[in-house]
Amino acid sequence: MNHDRPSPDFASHEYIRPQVNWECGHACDGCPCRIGPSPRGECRASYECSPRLQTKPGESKGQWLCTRPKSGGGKCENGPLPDGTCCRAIPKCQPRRTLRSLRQRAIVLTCIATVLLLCIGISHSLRDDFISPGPVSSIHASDHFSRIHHSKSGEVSTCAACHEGAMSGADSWHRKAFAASQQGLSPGELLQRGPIGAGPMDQKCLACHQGKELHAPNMPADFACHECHKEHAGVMPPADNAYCIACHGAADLMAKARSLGPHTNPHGNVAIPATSGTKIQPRQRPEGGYTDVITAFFTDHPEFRQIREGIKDTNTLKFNHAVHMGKGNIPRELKCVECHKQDSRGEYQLPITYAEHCKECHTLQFDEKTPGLTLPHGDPYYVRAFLRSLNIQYEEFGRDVEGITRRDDLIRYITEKRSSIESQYQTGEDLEHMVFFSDKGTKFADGQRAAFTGCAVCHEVKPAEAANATPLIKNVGVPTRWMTLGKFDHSLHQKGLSCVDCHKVMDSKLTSDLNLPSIKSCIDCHSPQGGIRHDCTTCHSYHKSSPFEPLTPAPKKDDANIR
Amino acid sequence: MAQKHIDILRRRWAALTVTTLVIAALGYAYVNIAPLYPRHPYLSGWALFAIMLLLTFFNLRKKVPFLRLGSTGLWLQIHIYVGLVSGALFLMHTGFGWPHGWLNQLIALCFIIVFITGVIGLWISREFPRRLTVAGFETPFERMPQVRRQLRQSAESMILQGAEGPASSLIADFYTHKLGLFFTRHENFFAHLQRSRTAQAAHAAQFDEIQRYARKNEQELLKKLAELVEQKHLLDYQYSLQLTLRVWLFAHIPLSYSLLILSIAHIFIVYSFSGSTP
Amino acid sequence: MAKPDTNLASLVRQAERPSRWGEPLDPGMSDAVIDRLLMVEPFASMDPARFPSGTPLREILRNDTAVREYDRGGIIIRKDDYGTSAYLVLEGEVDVVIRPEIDPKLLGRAENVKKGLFSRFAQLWNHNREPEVWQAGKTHDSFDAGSRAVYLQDYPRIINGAQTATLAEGSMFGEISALSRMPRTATVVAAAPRTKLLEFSWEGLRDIMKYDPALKARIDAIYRENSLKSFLSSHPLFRHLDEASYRELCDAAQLETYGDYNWSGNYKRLAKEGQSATTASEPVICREGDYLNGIHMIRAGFCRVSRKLGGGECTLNYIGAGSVFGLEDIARHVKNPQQELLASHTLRSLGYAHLIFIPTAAVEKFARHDWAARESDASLLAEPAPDISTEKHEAPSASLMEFMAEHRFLNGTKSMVIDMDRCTRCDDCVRACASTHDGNPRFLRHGPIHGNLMIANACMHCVDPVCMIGCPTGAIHRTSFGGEVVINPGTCIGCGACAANCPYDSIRMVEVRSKSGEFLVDQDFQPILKATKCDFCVEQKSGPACMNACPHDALSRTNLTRITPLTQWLKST
Repeated sequence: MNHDRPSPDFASHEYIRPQVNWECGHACDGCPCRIGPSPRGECRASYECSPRLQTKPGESKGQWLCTRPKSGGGKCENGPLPDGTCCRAIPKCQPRRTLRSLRQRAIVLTCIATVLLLCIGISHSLRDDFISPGPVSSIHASDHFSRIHHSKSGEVSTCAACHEGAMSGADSWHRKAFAASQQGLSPGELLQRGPIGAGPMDQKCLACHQGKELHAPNMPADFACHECHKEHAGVMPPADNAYCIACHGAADLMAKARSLGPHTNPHGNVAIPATSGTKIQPRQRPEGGYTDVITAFFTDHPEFRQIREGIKDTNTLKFNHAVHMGKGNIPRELKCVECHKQDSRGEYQLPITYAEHCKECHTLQFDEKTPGLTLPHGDPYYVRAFLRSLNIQYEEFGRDVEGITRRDDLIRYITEKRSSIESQYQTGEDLEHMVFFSDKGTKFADGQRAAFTGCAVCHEVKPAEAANATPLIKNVGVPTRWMTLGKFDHSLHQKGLSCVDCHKVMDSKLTSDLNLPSIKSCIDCHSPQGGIRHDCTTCHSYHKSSPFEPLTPAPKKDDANIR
Repeated sequence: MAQKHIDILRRRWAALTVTTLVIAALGYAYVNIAPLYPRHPYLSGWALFAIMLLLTFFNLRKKVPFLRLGSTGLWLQIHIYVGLVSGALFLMHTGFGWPHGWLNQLIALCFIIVFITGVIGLWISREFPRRLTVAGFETPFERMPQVRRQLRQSAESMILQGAEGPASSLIADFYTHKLGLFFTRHENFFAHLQRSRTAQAAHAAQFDEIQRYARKNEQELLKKLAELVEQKHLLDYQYSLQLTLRVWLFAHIPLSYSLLILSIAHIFIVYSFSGSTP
Repeated sequence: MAKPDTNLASLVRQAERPSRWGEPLDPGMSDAVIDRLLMVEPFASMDPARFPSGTPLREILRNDTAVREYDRGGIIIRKDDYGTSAYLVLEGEVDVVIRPEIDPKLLGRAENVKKGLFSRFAQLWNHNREPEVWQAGKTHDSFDAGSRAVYLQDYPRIINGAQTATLAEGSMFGEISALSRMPRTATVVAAAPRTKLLEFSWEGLRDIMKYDPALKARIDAIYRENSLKSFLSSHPLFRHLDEASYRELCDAAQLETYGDYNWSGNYKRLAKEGQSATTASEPVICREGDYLNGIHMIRAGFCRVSRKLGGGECTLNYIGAGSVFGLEDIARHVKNPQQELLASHTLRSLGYAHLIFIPTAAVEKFARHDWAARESDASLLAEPAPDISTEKHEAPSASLMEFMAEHRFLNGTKSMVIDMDRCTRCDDCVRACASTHDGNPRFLRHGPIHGNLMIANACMHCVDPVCMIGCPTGAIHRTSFGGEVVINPGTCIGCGACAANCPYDSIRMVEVRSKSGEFLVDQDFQPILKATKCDFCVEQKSGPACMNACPHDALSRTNLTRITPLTQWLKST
């Protein structure tokens, strides 16, 4: 209760007017004049009364009377001066704005200041920094880039490299804004689900960057570049998984893609350029294209096609991993890396060649007595030519390897060798036959086992049709890549993992065994439980038509960052 | 005339619940639904702009009390709770991060200042009236100079009347040196906002001291003078709080117009730079 | 160079000071008509010499009366309208409809004329920049629609079977409302074709009564009789009675008046002396512990109901028109006749009270049968005032009751109450008031404070508006529909009687100015004043601008004649 603090008394016969703009300057001292300032803020104070001349009947001069009203204090003591001037002048004041009026002014001033600030901000030199919503990625922000842009377009501002709005001045913004509101940014567009489709700004990216010849010709939707490659975010973040899922996780879109498939080139965009030097076992593109609905790698990514369809390696080179891994009789222990050497990038393995990887054990010797002399590997024609020119071969061998230089010694050497070989084999034909056709288990007609392992140990050798023709050995093409639609970096999988953890070759006896890991072994690590990133871009690329070639880079600075 | 008896507490709880639900729904939409709509910042932006217009219209509605547009009390409630929602919507619009770019930062700064001054202003509007009522000595703001003048004149006439004899200059001197200026202007503005009684205690101490030296007949005068001093303190308290209740809007309102202007510029720039036109 | 100012002349403009009879009730009142009137009763037996030279009888007739002609079925007075005219039947006859009441829709009770949408919108830019601008001679549309005559179609059928009293030539009616400022108690319809009535403005009637004792006595008599009858016949306790019982009841009933009719002058004087003086000046009507002889029904004014507490009296309630005191005690006595019938509370009049006392025997005989059984039934008693202490609400604090009674706030039907715990002193209410009144606020946001409750100096539109008492021109009047007290600025002569009378400082005299800001003065250079006050925004469709404009729900226009609306509002805020 505030009984002990009642309100003070004050003259309350006048209304309080908080809505006026000006108040008398004397108000701050507690005694405003009753006239009050004009609405424009001018002090109108003059005198307190307007004296009245009272002339009683019979008087000539009359008397001036004070007419100050009661509200002003009533008649004053002294009365007007003899000339009719009021004796009480009101000192003029400097009217003051009321708080409400000051607030109105503050609003107006703030608005003006804001507009000025805007004008300054969008003035030429400051504009780019002012309106940019965020730092541009380092390449696009570099001098190099702006030089390129300037040389191409003549513009100083690099905003115009991507933004149409920056191409003409600020006075065109409103026109462009209205145009945008009717086209790409119409209300319907704003409510559109799914990633933003390709738009006019994409053309600007394509001026330098590889286009979007995409990973599948039957794409039902096309995205804008900036959907995945977000600019104005400082360091450009990697493409978000969600965009991949937006299509590949949408059953309706996948169904549409499936229906488009038959009308599009099924081989388009998955061709492997012949120049890459990579061998791939050809396979059919699935009928529906790659339109499985995938929402996450670790949940519903289909099993790798090779595993799912039980694809076999059809190459003709006979190879038994189990033997080579120690289950068989081999001269020494073999490590995986001795044959499967990593390529320069560490991602995959270099192709396997006879010369580098097989020759050490599979020497192609045919003469027990001369183990150093080996048959040439490669073309069977040359093998036969070798076998039919043994004299020369022995001669060269004797000279080059044994070091026999004297002619007589050499002739003797050759003769020796010839006798030896002839004693081993009945005929030259037998030798040839044995070379080409004997494998480990070969027994000849007379029951004789082969003294060495011939071509047939590893190759499929077919007798020639024509007489005296060279046996046919199918060209071996050991595929170097199987899963070509994704990429894999072996060097990143070295820690804690050995080759056989994923490639189950210990029990693989057949060449046709693919020995590729199931997706399940990938999911062990590439999942939320495993803790390793499992987004689509880990393995797949949107742009690359060939998974083997890097994308055509933008004009290089000296930066390997451009993908 | 029918009078609506609004139960303030119940209304507050209901409004807070609805606001929380709306913000939660917006949050849910932001996390789960918005990612599917790549242009959701445009949607949240337009919603924010519409909300800002609605919030600004509150000031305009007050200018036409004679039109039937709903009572100002209702508008204030809408203003407060929609304002809270706008804060959440702003966070979603900027992606829960501080924006980059000068213009965007300027907008964000304006918004934050307007928001925070709004929240502070709300607190002031609820807290200060109670303080004023409890303190008493209720004086209309425009009449404070008059009351101050009255106090000063009472004090001065008291001093002048009491002046008699040589020793009485004690009180006159005391007044001139310690209290003279005090009665001519409002003092201790910030101290009163903090409810500090330091100045009052200082004066009380001074009076205690002077009481020792005053004569018997002057004691009564000093008591009355002390009462006037106390009243002046009360008046200053009224002044501090009432001025604050008026002045906080000087930060809130002009910047909100500023915000609107900047937002309009922002819309034009975003649209023209959106790359949606060839 | 222009002569510099030597006085205030540049800021004053002379204008004609409005006079009491500047706008006569009927400008067409001619000398011939006046002469004819002076030949009939009651004017014929009046002594013109008793009338002062300032207000001669002839001029009163010229300016404060009007001859009105009605056809059969023409509605002269509508029940529940607020009107201040009295009538004298010159020719023909009129029917006073007693029972049943005519359908209000047929009567055409019209709401006040409100400003249209564009006019309201135009207030935004139309207002004058100078304060208190007054343009003399500019007509101000009356928003009082009650002056439109309406005819009852097919009057004989409507009136068939109704209980009416016919008044013939020479009768007077309408004086209750004219003198007591209460709503019309009955509908009066012209019964004969070409019925001629002489309408008196109430100040005209007041003046004639002042100077003609015969008319005064006559009017006082019929006033007492009619007001007693009309009050009892409309009260729920006795509404059901037939004519004969009524007469018996009326004979048994006694009219009592306490305090001064013009209590405000007294009150203001006493208020200055302090609280104890006001309490001491309240006459005791019935003391606690005394024998109770009957019930007191309050017809007008207010009474304080209190109970002894310790060494003093605790105010329990204040009751106003329609309330009944003592019914509960009598009911209890009927149940237990052995117990003595004693008053359990004290009843005092506050300022002025007009009561009707009915003895216990009459109560037991004539009151509704079920009144005894349902002693606590609030609906039994005058709406909406319940009997004391049985009101089903949170009892307000005694100090609040004291505060209300002491300041006589219980008179207000639309008092401006401000919750100071929510009011941010922003003055938006004042600005809103100004924006609806040409840039001039019509109240002061200041007033007595009790705890967190402030009753501001805004017109309370009292149930008993004492401001109307002294008005010479009747400029201050009540709108016929809602009864809001408004001032017609066209007829206000600025005498200040209303401002002086108002106990709540709600009326302020303003010095009017021209459009360019000059003070308007008369020939003596004295400013022309107009009385101004809150008019409850009767012209605005949106209702009171102040309440609409308060952003913090701190301001309410509350009916303080009953304590319930206020306590409910306080509780909810």
